[in-house]
Amino acid sequence: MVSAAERVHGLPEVLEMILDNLPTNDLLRVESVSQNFRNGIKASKHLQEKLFFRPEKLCGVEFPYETVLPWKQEPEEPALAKSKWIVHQIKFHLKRLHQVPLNTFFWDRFELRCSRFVGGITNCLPINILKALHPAMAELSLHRNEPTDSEAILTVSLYEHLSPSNKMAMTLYAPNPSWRRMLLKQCPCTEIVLCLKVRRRRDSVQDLMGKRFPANTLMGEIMDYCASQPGDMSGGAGVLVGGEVNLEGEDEEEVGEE
Amino acid sequence: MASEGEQTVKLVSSDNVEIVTERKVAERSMLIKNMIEDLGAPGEEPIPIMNVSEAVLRKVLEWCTHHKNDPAPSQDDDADSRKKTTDIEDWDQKFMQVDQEMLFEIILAANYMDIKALLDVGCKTVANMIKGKSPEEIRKTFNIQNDFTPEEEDQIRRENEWAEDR
Repeated sequence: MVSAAERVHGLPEVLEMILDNLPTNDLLRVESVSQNFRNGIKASKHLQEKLFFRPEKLCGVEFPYETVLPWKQEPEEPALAKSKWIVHQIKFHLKRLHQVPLNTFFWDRFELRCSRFVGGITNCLPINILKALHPAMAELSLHRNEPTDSEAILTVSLYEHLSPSNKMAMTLYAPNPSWRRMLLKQCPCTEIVLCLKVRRRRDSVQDLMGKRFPANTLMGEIMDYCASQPGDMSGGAGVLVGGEVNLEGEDEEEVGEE
Repeated sequence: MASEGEQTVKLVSSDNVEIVTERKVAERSMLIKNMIEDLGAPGEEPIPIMNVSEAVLRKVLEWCTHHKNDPAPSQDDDADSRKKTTDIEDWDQKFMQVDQEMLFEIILAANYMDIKALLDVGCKTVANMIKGKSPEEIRKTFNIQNDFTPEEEDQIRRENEWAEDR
């Protein structure tokens, strides 16, 4: 006779309801219980979104904004179009802040410095995921920068000092760790601007300002980019890869590589 | 003429036991509510609850009785309650202190009888049994067979190792 537990676990919608009550770290761990649990998590759109493996319906540039933004019809000067485009998208997204779930796992475990956050925006930007990824990360900040009119750019900075002897840090670099497949953040955000200051020694600092990524960039892509920059942690034990935000002049920089 | 609240309905469990209960209590179940509406004459015709045994049905009705005056959940509340974890009210927590087979039977019944709030409490209770446990402990708890090859299991474990509490 099949036990009631087995029958319950065999109902995908009920299994999803059960798993939905778990914090993220439990959810990831539960994947290795059985094929059934694993498939239950993989097949659930809702749980995939919760784990940042899948973008929520309104995320980044793939959404057909033209269809919902009437003012997009206004003729624009080509040179201005780009930055205005960003403004529009963000305005649109701001209306939806309350619907974006927190990544409770990261939220619970890591303290974010909220002093520089604007309004309720912290609640919808699980960029603190980065801090979890790099346990030794000393500084992580996120900015909603408003250099002109109402333009808003979100800026992430990384500050990491990762020692190879740090065992818990090394679990991050296991083959194909699941964090690499995670989105940096769920919406709202149209663009990720990475400001990284790489510091090989205390006296030499290299700026990598304003590298722009699309909104649906994965954690692995960001980290690969950081690692590819000179002065990354391949420099040896205890090397610092530090990041600070420097917002000045950033909006003048053109993107170029899109 | 009895008012709606005092009306009774006859339910028949899967093992053919007739249980008479207040209509208001029974209507916590959307399945029964719809059936009563379809049948038209509540109280006369017994309503078969095909998949639920007497013991489980009585337990479910006990829950429905306690919660008979709860406001009906709106769609919005529903979306909200999904977000909240582990907060189960005291009475429900005590109610769920049953053996595991019964707990899952209640969940199956709540799912079949379409009693959202009870299903939710059941799922939260199970989630609390999973929280903080290793995969092996979870398998033991629910008597689940490990159907991964050692290689697969190792690979999945490595993929997610970074997220472990330390």
